[in-house]
Amino acid sequence: MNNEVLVKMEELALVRFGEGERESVLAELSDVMDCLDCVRQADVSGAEPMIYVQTKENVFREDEVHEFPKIDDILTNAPDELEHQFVAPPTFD
Amino acid sequence: MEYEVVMGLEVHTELATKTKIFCSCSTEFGGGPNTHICPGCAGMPGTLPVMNKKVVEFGIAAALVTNSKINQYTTFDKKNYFYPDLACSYQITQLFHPICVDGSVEIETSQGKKTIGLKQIHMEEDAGKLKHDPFTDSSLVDYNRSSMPLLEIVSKPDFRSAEEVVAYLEKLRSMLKAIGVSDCKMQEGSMRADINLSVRPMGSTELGVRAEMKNMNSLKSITRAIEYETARHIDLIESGNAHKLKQETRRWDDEKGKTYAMRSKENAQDYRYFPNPDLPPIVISDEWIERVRQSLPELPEAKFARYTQTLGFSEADSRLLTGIKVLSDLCDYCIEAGIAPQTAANWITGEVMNLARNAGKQADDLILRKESLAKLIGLVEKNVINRNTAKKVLAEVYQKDVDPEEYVKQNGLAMVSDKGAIEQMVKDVLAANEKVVEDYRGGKTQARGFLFGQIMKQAKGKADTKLINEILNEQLG
Amino acid sequence: MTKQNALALSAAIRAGEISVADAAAPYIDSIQADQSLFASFDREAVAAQIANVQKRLDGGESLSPLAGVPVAVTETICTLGEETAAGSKMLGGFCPPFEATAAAKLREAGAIVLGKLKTDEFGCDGLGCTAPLAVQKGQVLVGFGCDTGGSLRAPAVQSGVCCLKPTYGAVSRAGLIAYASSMDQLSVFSGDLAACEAGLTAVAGYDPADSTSLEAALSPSDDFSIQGKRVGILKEALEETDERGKAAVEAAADALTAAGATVVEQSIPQVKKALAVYLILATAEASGNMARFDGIKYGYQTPHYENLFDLYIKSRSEGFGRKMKERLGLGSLMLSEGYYEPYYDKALRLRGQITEAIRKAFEEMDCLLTPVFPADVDFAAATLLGGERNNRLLTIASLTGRPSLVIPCEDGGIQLVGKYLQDLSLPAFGRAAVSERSGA
Repeated sequence: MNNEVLVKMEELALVRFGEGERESVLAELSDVMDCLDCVRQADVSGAEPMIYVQTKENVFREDEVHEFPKIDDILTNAPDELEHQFVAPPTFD
Repeated sequence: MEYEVVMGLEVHTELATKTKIFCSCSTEFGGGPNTHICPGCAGMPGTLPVMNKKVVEFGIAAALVTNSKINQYTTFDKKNYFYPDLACSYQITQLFHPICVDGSVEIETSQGKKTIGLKQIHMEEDAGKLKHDPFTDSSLVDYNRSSMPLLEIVSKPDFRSAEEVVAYLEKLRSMLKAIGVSDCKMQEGSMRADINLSVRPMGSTELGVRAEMKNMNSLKSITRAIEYETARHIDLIESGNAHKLKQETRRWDDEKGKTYAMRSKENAQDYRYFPNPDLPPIVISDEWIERVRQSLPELPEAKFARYTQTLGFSEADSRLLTGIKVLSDLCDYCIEAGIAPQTAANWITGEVMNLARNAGKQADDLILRKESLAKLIGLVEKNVINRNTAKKVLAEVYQKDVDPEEYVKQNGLAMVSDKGAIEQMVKDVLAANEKVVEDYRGGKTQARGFLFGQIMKQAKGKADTKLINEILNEQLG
Repeated sequence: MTKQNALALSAAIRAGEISVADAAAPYIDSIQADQSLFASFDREAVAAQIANVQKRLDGGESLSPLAGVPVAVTETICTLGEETAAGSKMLGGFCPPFEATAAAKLREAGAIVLGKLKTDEFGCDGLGCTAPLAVQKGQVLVGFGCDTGGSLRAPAVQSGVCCLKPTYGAVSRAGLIAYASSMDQLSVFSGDLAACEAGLTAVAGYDPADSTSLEAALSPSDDFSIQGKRVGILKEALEETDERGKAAVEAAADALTAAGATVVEQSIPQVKKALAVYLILATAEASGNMARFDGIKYGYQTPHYENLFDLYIKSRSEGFGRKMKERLGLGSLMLSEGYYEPYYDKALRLRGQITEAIRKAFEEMDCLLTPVFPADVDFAAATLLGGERNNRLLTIASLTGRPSLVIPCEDGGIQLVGKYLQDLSLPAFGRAAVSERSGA
């Protein structure tokens, strides 16, 4: 765990730590990485990954339209709205 | 130095379901922006995806028609990146266990037949749409298309020419349309093709630096884009600038006829795929696969074989008929209703096509009641009406959906086929045109045509021409 | 205010001995006087609920054992048209146009939802979360919040209150602000176990809107008897705790034996990695779930930005607290190239190993008993790791999806982990375990 890794975390999660807290964040995350080391070192040969906590399978719904009744309320939550659309800074491509 | 272009395709097709893949919003086109959304596809917290069963069925169908190996245990994953059109900032797609792998598509080009290998087909959701607003210089976000169900068909890098790519896309389109999975309209965006392209010296087995091309909205622009990009790669290599060739995503600009490197962060992204714990795995049983297989309609290829080999149609006729579902449906129905196959074929490639042309419609979009067509042809075959009358009745069937038998009865269009009545008509005409008869008997064979015309006029066009000719010949001697 | 018994109160209400309004009045007054634990409290909305429930009762409708009981939900649970900010500036002002299925069930049951309780950011810290204090202070009788890796159970015990986390999938997650999808469960906290049971029963049930929702119902507790049941004491947990923790477990074991159960020692060494596995998986899942907070669709938006990514970064950096940012950064890293295999993938496999080992252990027991807090518990822990380490004994249930009940006692607290869908048996074990002590 070092500043390079911290920067990578920031870039992946699109967050930034304040200059003043960088050092203590690094120290904290360093402790965390130490704790996680037991996983990195573990021998898991023969173990299958457990992705689902249950044994559920084939959970489906029928292809039938159910319109959401309060669409306007979805948009009123937006900080910025124009012509029934969300507003973002200009994108390219 | 000779180069060859090597290409792989990623084709996205929008599925013809009523609702989106993970929520029950309508997939209907149109309506204003953000009129077919819910908290789920609009990325609100506290929402969860629920799988649309129909999407799986379409996936199985697509797997079957491409002879793919179905993964009977198939799951969904999250592909993570930030962009305003991606409501949850992740796309639910399939990386680890796509619904099927290792299929193939047969194509035919001027160089002959070829098999294009498929790497896999997987199910995923689409993103919303961004529209640039010049007045506020912002991107307006519309989630109507967010979570639209897609099948992504990934080919192996087996393509060596634009012609092959076009043949493949046409073949895919006709297959997927035939099984009702998608209407595959490139211009409307229900089918999109991204092309991974690289060049290498002929004979080399290593792949060159790859560019991914996006935004080609028609087969024509695909051809132009491939030609442009291939030339761009070769130019760079030949001019000693091979180092400038980067693995990147390039956008095709149809107006300018060029590709441009995309500025978006799409390049060099770490998507951090991981299995989606919100969606339990899908287990596809053998029975389910069989059920879907049974429900599949006959594919264009099989139909072509049946038309040429079993029914004996010419290749040209077969190609026309099998290429357009409306026509093959009409043809198959008529044959089922007892019409002789070639007769049915002739009618459809002839009069029905004329009808479409006159109505200014694509045969694809022609709406003609098949029962009525069969009846109409039957009336002609039974000599109730002649071909001319039939043409007119056909127009009425098309425009006003009349029942041909009713219509003929109501309007007294039935041919005169009573031998006695015709004999009388012929006798009358011959009597009234003695000079012409003399001319004919004197050797002027064209005169017969005039007499024939007069008889038809007498019969008001509604007479059995075969019978008239017989009797005329008799009486003329 | 003397603590009323929730079920007794509801019975009195349903028998007509006291009106819904009169029953709720002291609680409303208490909150009115001190709203510090509440993120939102709307007297009018409460009055409307009261009127509605009274009307239903008067109309002869037969309501649940929670009818008329004053309850609260935390601000990580979506309620229609009410601000649900999950304790975060990032979601400030977010008013969901939909209701969490569990919240709707509570209203259907006739409970009176007095307001929404504050949580720490996204309710994932644990100790320091003040929500359970609302029960301890007598402002509500039952509370509902989200527990992922002990984030609600730990502060419940700290506040002297019981908390029951259900079998994963027993309660719908639809409308719950997601942190770690495969571990989040709406949980119940209350001063007494019967109320916890009634609370869980009210919100549990299959929900087609949640694909991980179980169709099977919770096993009823009517015929349940402690007689002959086997209780396992987790050796590795005892090793992690101190004298107090050991004393708590011992006392519980004695009481359970007296009640007719057999106590056995269990050793499941795999659980030693539970904390690390939990940290990796939970933060990874959270990094995916929280990515939708972008300053564009709802919630907080930074006031000044130059371009799209500047908007994203500033909104998220200003909207999320430091600890949350650490979790998101860590979680994203765990999924990234070079880290996925050695961390995330391995954690998934270890999760499987832990789950299988515990499943095997449950072949020889009906319930697992552990202390709540480890020896090095630091009630003032401010760091990410410090906080998570406090909860590490509680992560066992989270990783395996098993139900877990925590009960406060003199020496801290005890945890009871049960078999799948046997959630309602845990209060019975709990009652027997603390029968010598007051409070439950």
